[in-house]
Amino acid sequence: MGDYVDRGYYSVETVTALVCLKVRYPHRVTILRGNHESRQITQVYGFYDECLRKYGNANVWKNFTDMFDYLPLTALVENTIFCLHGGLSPSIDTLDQIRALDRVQEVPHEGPMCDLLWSDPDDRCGWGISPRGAGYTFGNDISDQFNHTNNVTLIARAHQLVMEGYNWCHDRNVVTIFSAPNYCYRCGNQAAIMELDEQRNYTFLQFDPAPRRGEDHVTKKTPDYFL
Amino acid sequence: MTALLAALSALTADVPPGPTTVGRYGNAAFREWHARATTALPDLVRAVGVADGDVAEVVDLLGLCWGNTTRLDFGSGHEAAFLVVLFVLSEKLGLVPREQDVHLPLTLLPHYLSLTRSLQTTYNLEPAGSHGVWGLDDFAFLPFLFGAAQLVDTAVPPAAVCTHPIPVALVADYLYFDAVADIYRVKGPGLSTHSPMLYDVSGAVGGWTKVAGGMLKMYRAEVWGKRVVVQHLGFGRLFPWTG
Repeated sequence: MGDYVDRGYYSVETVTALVCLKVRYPHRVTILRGNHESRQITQVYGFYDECLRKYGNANVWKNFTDMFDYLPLTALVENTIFCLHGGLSPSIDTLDQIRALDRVQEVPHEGPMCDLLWSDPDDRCGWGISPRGAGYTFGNDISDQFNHTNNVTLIARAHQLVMEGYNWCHDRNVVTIFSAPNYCYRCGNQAAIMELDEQRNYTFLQFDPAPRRGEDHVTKKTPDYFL
Repeated sequence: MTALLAALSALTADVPPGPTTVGRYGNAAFREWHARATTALPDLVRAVGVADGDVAEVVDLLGLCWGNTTRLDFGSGHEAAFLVVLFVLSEKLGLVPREQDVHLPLTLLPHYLSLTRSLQTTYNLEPAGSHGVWGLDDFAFLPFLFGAAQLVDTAVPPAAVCTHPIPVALVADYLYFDAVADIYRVKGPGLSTHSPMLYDVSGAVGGWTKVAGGMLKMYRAEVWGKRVVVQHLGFGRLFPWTG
């Protein structure tokens, strides 16, 4: 559900592993786009710097960000669970409106495609201005209406840190799933994934960070400012 | 100014973090702290010796130094705003004797860093516009900028940052090591993974002179040279926008 890159040390390895899985199991893996799967965002939040540091040039960043344009924005599981990175958009009432979007492009600064990747659920009803500066906040009434209109039972999304790795809101119309443990090596949060069985029963699996590797044996590579 | 920073530090005890809310990671009680600080600032600023006619502007400039109350985050732009305050107090208002201003990074800055670190942890402020592990630090730049300069001509090698934990004596004496120790405290060992930039910098050929020069170049380009960072600064009569 997006945000495979930025902030951490292993973005290149993470997104590479996912793409390899998609190539190996094309019909069993779906990779959705997050707001960080974008040229502009990755230049601010680390993925660009990471590629430059690890490869000495921006080619890997260029190829990955070109690929990101092709990632789908949303997915529907068994016609009942609507999955996406961020949240709803005031420009979108139906799933068909999403299907009609011309999505193969850089994530725009505004509009429906932007909202799907940037919006957050909120305690307040209706639509609100997002403190993020992109997308909107949406209340329980909006989620309820959307799920009813589209005959889905749940909006599964990511985009926000939640301490237990998953968090229900909007009377269980919405669940947030966050699968990066100890976010930014500082937040102390658990991570979670949601598992769904054949009867559409769900279980949340929570996990903590993997043990740290031992001593530092990485070769130092002096950044340009310090040469 | 240390009294002003101490008064603001004391305020954090009066405004404990509230229950965490869904959505933002930051604790909404920070807004209450910020509001109370803003109320307290005019008297505190007068006590520093700022003339009545300049108080409002200095209060506004100081209001930008603690973090963003909408996004509940903190970044190098807020730190830069504190540099602006020091510039105004010394260069514009003449409140710092000429020969003392060079000492400000070692006398006053640690009090500011201690307060802002306490705000970051008490209210779980998010790192603003963070490059993640690929930046220097989640929040701070100044202790590395001034701290590297402080270490020029000392016998301590830059590679000493790779030792976990940092020896207590180095933490007590040097801004740079104090800042790295703070990172280790939050993130544990493994500098090359959680702070690869500091790890790489510690191998700079030319020692602290090279590190200090590099920090200055990086600070100019990555903080003052970035519109997304400096767009939040306040400009006015004391710190005019000259285009």
